[in-house]
Amino acid sequence: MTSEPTPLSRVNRGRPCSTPKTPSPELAALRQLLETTERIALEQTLRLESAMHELASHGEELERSRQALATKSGLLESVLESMASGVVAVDRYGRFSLYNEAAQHVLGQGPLAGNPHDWPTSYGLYLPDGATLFPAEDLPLARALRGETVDGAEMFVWRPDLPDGTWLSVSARPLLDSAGHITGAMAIFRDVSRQKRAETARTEFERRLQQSNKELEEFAFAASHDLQEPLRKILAFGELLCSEYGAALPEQARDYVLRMQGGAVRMQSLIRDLLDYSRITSRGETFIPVDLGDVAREVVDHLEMRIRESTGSVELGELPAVQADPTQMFQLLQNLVSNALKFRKPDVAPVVKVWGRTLQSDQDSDRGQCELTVSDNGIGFEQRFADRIFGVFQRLHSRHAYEGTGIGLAICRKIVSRHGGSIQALSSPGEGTRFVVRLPAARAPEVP
Amino acid sequence: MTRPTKPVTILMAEDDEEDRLLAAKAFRESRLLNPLVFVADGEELLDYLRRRGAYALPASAPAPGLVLLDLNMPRKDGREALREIKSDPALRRIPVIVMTSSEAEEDVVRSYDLGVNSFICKPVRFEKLLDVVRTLGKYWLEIVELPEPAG
Repeated sequence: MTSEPTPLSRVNRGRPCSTPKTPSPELAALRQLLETTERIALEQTLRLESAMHELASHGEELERSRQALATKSGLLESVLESMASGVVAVDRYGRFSLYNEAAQHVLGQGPLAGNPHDWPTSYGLYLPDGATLFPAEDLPLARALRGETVDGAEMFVWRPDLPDGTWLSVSARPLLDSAGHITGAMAIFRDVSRQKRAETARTEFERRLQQSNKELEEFAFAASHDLQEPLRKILAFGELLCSEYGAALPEQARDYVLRMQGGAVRMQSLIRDLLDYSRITSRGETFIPVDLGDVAREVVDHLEMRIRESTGSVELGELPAVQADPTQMFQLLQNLVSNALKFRKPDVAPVVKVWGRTLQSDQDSDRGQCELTVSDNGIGFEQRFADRIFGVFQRLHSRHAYEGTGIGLAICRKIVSRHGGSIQALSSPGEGTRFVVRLPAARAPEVP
Repeated sequence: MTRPTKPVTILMAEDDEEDRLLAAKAFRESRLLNPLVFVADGEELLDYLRRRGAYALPASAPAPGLVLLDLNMPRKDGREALREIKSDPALRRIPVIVMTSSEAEEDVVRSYDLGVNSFICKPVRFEKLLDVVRTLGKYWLEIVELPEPAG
């Protein structure tokens, strides 16, 4: 729009003026009319001008909006297309209004269409069991169309063109208009086949491991049980040989038979110990709250003779309650205390101390844990053996110096590990030994 | 107190030949003169008690007054045999004594749950076996009143 004068004003200005002395009233009226008209025209023109201005700027704005919209929708489109997750949207009748490349990939080539009721069959949608068709009314999109919000629903997709199948994790939302009415729904699905397969493989591996462990334990149990039978025969008939024909045997022959018997007896205790060891897991009982103080008192009662013979003492301090197999707690404490009595200094009365506490620290590793300590003033050992002593049939001394097969501490460690705890030995030669055991604290009884 | 005129027959279910040999020897040496009959497994034990198969003739299977039962046997083990005996009204009153090399707590508990009358761990030493047999004989054949064997 330009500010060029209107034709009317040009006419007005271009007109030569005559100079009559007195203008006639008609002329004056005409002039006035002209002037008024001119003014109105001018005003209109100006208004028109500004209106056109405004219109033009609106148009520009509109153009900018259109461009922005195009950019945005282009961006949205490329985001949708570059997404690894499948996205589909449907209108309220379940007709597809939008889907991206990833969705197309999972749901098969060709335009997505069809009655929602046919989706499970046409797209090969199955329940997580991998065999039952997904009920159409339970599909995440169908539920979202009813106003539900679905998160992480699991689905298996299988079709001839997807021979290995695909595992999906599907989330869906209803789409609402400004009044809150459902106008459609959208779903987004992620291919979780990799995780799913890894998970399946891990579960399978764990199952096999567990089974093999169980078999191994059963095997150890059965084997050690059956191994005892022939030994009993060696012992029984050796004994009969000695008692019935001993007199007829030369001295040397009797000695041989006795050594055979000795070996068989030792073998028998080894087998018995192996049986005890394998029973810890194969015949363990359930965990209940156990007061270690009660258990320790029982152990002291049980070992009363040994304690008296040793002229030593067992001092019991504060002891916490743990979540454990009560029989095994008895076994654990009995082994630790009798060990402490056994490896005493020959000339010093053994003093065994048993105490414990529930750990109060804020550290996660300590939460809900108890610590049990059994200390002695015995012969001790070099710290470098601290791991070895927990091995099956591991000994630091000859059979002649200290009796026993070397299973006691192995049993302790197995019991503690079955309870998810730990056991540690701290010692140095001549300085006594301290066993520190960690066990889960007793849980408050469940309120039904 | 009335004693059966005939000495009570003792039936022992034991698959291990040496154990049978040792048991027979222990019975002899403790001067238990009761007839001691052996069967080799649970199947045979129930055939004997129910007079089936090889034991169809009454004379071939004198009714036992006492059963000694090993737990670990082939075909039908002692646990199954014990369950069948104790759930059979015709057999359940025969005292059954488990004599086994198993010291497993669950075997002890389960046997008593099934209604066993005693549970004995086979002693390793023959001297101890003699003791056990003598004590068994004294208790079950002299002190205890047994029901009249059926049949």
